Amino acid sequence: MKNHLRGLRETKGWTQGELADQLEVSRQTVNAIETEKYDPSLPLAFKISVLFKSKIEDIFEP
Amino acid sequence: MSDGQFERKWLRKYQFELAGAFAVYGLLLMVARKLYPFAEAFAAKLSLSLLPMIGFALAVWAIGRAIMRADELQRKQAMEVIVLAAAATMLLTFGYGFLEFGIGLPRLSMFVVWPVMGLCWILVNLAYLARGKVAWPWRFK
Repeated sequence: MKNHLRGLRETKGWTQGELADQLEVSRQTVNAIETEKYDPSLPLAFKISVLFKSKIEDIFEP
Repeated sequence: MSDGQFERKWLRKYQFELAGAFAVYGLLLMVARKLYPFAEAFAAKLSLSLLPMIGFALAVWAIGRAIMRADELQRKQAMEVIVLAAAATMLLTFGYGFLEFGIGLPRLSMFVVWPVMGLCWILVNLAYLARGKVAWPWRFK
């Protein structure tokens, strides 16, 4: 699934590790979502949307 | 802001618990080996033979706890790798069983199964890394 997670993270000036800690996941998971190798579960997608104060559909594209 | 702290904490706890379990296993194995020659009753022999397995059970508990603390992608990958490793182990051990009867290969101990599965687990993990399904840790930024 296409997403804008890398761009959003870079806007905040966070590393993958820093974002991972806020989402309580591993860096590998953040990396896999950014490189579109893994689609997050709905609860994790919600956590991401709350963290970036954006709608899920603005972060993830079907 | 913390950087990769969640993952490091997870790994540290897992390593600590697993190392503790294997330390218990090693200790109980030494105790069992020392005492076994003096055991005469069947119950004593049985108990001493199984004594090191308490350490092994603790290792299973540590692995279970690590899986419960892992995130969703880690759990998914752990499940895929263990399923493939178990399937490969079934293939190898069952195939070898037929060869024991069919062409008279030497009978192997049940102790062989676990190292075979461990090796399959390592190989599946390496295949995942090579195919880029899992990223090498130093590639994270």
